[in-house]
Amino acid sequence: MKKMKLQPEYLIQSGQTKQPNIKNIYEFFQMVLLFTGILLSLKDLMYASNCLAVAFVSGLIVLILRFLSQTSKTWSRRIDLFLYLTGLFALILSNLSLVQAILDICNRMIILCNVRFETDFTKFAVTNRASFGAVILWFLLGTGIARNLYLHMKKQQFQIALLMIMLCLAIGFGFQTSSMFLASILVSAGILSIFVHDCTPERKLGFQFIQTHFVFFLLILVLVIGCINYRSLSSIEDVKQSISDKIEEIRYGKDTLPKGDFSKSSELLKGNDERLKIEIDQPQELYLKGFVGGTYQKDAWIPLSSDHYENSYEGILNWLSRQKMDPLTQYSLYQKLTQNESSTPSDLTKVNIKNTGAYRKYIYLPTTLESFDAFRASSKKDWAIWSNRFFGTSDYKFQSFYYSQDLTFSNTASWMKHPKTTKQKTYLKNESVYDQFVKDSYLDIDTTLKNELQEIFFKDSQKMDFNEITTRIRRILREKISYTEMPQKTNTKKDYISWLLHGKKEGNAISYATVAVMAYRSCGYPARYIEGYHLSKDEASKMLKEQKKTTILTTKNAHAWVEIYRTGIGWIPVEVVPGMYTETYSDQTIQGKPSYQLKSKKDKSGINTEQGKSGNTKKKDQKQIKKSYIIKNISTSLIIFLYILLILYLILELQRMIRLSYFKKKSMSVSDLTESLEQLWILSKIKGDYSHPLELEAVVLSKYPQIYPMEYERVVTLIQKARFGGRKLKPYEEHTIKCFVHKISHLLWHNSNIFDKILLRYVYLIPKE
Amino acid sequence: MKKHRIWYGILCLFAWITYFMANDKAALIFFAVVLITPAVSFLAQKFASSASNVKIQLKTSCYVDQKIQIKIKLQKASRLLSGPLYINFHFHNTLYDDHSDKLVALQLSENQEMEFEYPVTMKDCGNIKISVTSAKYLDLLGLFSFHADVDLENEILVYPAQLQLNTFLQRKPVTQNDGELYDDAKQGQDVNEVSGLREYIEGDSPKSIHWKLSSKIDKLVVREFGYPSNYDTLILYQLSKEAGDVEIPNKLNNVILSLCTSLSYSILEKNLEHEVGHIIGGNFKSTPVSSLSTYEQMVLNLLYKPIEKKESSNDIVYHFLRGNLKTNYTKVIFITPEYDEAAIRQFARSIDLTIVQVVDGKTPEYITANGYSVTSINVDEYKQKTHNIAI
Repeated sequence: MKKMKLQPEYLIQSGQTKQPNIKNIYEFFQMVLLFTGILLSLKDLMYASNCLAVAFVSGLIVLILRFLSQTSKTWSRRIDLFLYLTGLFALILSNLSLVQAILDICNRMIILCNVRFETDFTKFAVTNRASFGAVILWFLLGTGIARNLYLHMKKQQFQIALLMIMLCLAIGFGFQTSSMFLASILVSAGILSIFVHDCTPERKLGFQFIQTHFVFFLLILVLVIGCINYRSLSSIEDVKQSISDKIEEIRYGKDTLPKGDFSKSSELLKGNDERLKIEIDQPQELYLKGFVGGTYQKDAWIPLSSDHYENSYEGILNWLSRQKMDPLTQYSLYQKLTQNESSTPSDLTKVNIKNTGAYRKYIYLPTTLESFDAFRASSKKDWAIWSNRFFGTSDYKFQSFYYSQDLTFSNTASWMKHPKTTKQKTYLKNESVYDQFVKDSYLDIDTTLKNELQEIFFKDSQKMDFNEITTRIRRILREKISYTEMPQKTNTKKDYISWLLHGKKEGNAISYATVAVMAYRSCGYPARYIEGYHLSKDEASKMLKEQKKTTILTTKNAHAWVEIYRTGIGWIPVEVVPGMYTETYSDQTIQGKPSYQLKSKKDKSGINTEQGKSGNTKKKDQKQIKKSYIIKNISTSLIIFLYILLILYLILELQRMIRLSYFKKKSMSVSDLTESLEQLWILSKIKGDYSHPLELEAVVLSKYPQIYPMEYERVVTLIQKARFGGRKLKPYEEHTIKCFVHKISHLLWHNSNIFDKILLRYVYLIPKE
Repeated sequence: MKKHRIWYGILCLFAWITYFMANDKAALIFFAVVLITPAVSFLAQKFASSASNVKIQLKTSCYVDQKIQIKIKLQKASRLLSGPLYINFHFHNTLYDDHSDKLVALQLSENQEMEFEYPVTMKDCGNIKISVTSAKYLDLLGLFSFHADVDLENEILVYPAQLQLNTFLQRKPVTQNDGELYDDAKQGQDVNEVSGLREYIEGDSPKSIHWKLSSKIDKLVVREFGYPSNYDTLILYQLSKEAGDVEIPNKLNNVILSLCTSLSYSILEKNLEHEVGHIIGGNFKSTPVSSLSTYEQMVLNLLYKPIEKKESSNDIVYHFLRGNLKTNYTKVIFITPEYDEAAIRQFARSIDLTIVQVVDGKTPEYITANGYSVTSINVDEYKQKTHNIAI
């Protein structure tokens, strides 16, 4: 037999009396403490600081009213009614601005998710109406949180209150809210008081009480003082990173690409494991990019943060996509327009890639990409294509623009100065928008570093064009840094570039690419750092000679290079590792006008140029747009549906309350009670002659085994006494019938399914409490 | 405590995860408070409970449904903060072989000497052994427990409710024997015949006091009357956990015991010697009641002897008749929770019988047959409604 859990009986000292008022005041302050902590931890979800004030005041009022009315059920009910009415009024008043406020909260959550988990969710469009809606919403949330906190704490269900607190704290810590410092102190104190209070609920206010709370207060104070100067522990960050790496490794496999981490640069060419199996119909040099670093930190490259795609550039990528201009296929588009749209199949190279040992999250693609075919893969901002499959993508194919000349020194086409066709004009307009974005995002460089690099690379130099700059950078790098496959581990305390140029002076492709990117940026060229696999010209030539169409890229093909944004052309790879490029130009020669001096106006009208892309890309783009529209529509419909559901719920509760208060006032006669009973039999699906209730006894008892035969017979006798005997029942006899009706209602409620319960609650007002 | 431990564990885990994920000072403060407070609470409680002394006192007897106070005296070494003291009492009713536990949490104050009273309502009669199975101090957060030395091994005798019954003799006693025994048909053969004198015992009827002699020897002396040996009465009771296939609740047995003792006392007040007996597994056992001391003995016999698990009125009647006990008694008052008409009719054919049926629920109405009468008593109303009983 299962042993029943013993509930303790709390005893206080003989001669002492319980102090309910002290207990209530204590509980009130405990709840205010927790409530304030909860609101502070949710502060970053709020539209403005006035929302915090509104939520706090509304919650405080609810708590005060609740505490004042706790001894009276009638007043509690009235306060509930008042709250429902206020909520309904607020909903009506807010109209649809509440939806805007909810969307604003969703956007804030999306930002958190995008930052924390590197996701790429699109935010909802929010209008100015959100500010009013947010005040209403936080008024409702404030009252809701306070009410729930009160109910659960009063019912001694501190577990539910604790879960609610933990959820709010998780949001607060997730957002790293500015007020979390105060919130964590308040919530810690509140939680401790919950445990102490639950352990000794009848503790009287005295020396012991003050002593206990003073000790805890002192402890929290000491801990706060102790932690005030805390800085994030790097060891924890390392552990987090290693856990994250391990999970990534399980999901996507492991290769030697350090993904921007300079401390792992020595591993780039370690070993000779097979990474990619390539099948190419026209062998050519391929820079298959994986990791893309947009922001330089002193010890690593990290992708460009989401902040760059917000505010004035909010939705730029979607807009470009609608304009049929994808930064990832821009070079191909440019080439098509240059060749007067006479792109024949001979211009495209078909490549099949089988990822046999490389990191499977990346879809390794070249800059000259025309189109790709990979299951569940999508653009990651304007950097690369990432797999959306849980374990990454192993097989995919793409078409690349076939080129024979060195892309680095390709000059802009003549049509860019005087565009002739509409497509060319549209392209230039769209490109100018992206060009502006690129210049605002990919030119970040620390002033000190910029001066330092200018001093090293471009000292005593006049105005130089791109080709000259490239040649100069290559030369200086060749002079300053000696190549080694396995460079020594970096000194993490110092800036990597300074350490490299002034200290170690030796490195591999990662070192060259890093310095080169920053050097390009220092002279105004948008540049980014790329890691991936390189199919060299020599290997491609060898394949051509041997008429082979398949090759295997190993760890030895792992490489890092620079991608430069050439205005009008797009992102092009630039090789800076000595021995891997052919010197064509001298940095002393000035050839032509720098391409970045070409100016074009921004296009805000959003002209649609559908002819700019091939059929496949067009279809994919359409699919993507359609998909995002569907998701947005579904989300909006869902929110509106929930909104309607909430209003419906409030209306139903309200009508129930009004009707119940009417019934409460009305004194119930025996005939009313008999009618109620008959209604209950009908609802219970008990069939029979209701005018002969004793005949129903067997059915009733079988339906409700909790009813005793005597009980039923007694009630029937009393009803008969009143109805047929014409006698007035005594108060206790009426009470007996009422209790019986009440019992049946509860039994009926408990035996019903969810739909019947809704019907019973809102139509038949069962149960009546 | 288990609930506190689980939830505090979850909280610690949550605090650790948030600190690990956020790695900032707000998260660290939260984590540190959650982690260090139990340690402080543990040390404080360890110190507070190290030199404490707990004593428990309680009564030795009471009546059923009476509320008794278990007094717990606690002495602390210091006025320092302390969590509650949890005491688990174990109650063992030897009569019904029932075990139950009660947990009390003493909310300690800053006083060094404290006294608590724990009210317990004794719902069942019998001899109840009370012991403390565990006593432990909890820390302020309810996470750690510290053993407290509490020795309690006590017994409390719970008497059945004593009813003020007036017994009416419905039938005249019929003489069975003659010779040296009294016969009410003959002159002088009277129950009022004085057969002896003895010292007054508390509870003796004031009418029986021999005032003349008492005043002479300055000591109360009572007359002992002649035995109405031609009216041999037996109060036969049926006490069991199950009768047939029906489970008999303790409250029903409590009423049987109450009626048994009250009826015996009432008959004794009429100076009628009688016996109180029952049949267990075919064996008849009885206790003669002739005075208050024998009455006390009978009550103790009733309360100390564990009741049978299963016994039916049919078996009792069968064994009574088979054992030829009808020759020993002229009147039988059978107190039973069940009523089997066939067996009772057979029983009544052999002896002057009164059935007192104790029922839980609706009181049935029986047609009184020749030779015996049935009185039904409801368990919930017996105290209020049972005042007069005709036998």
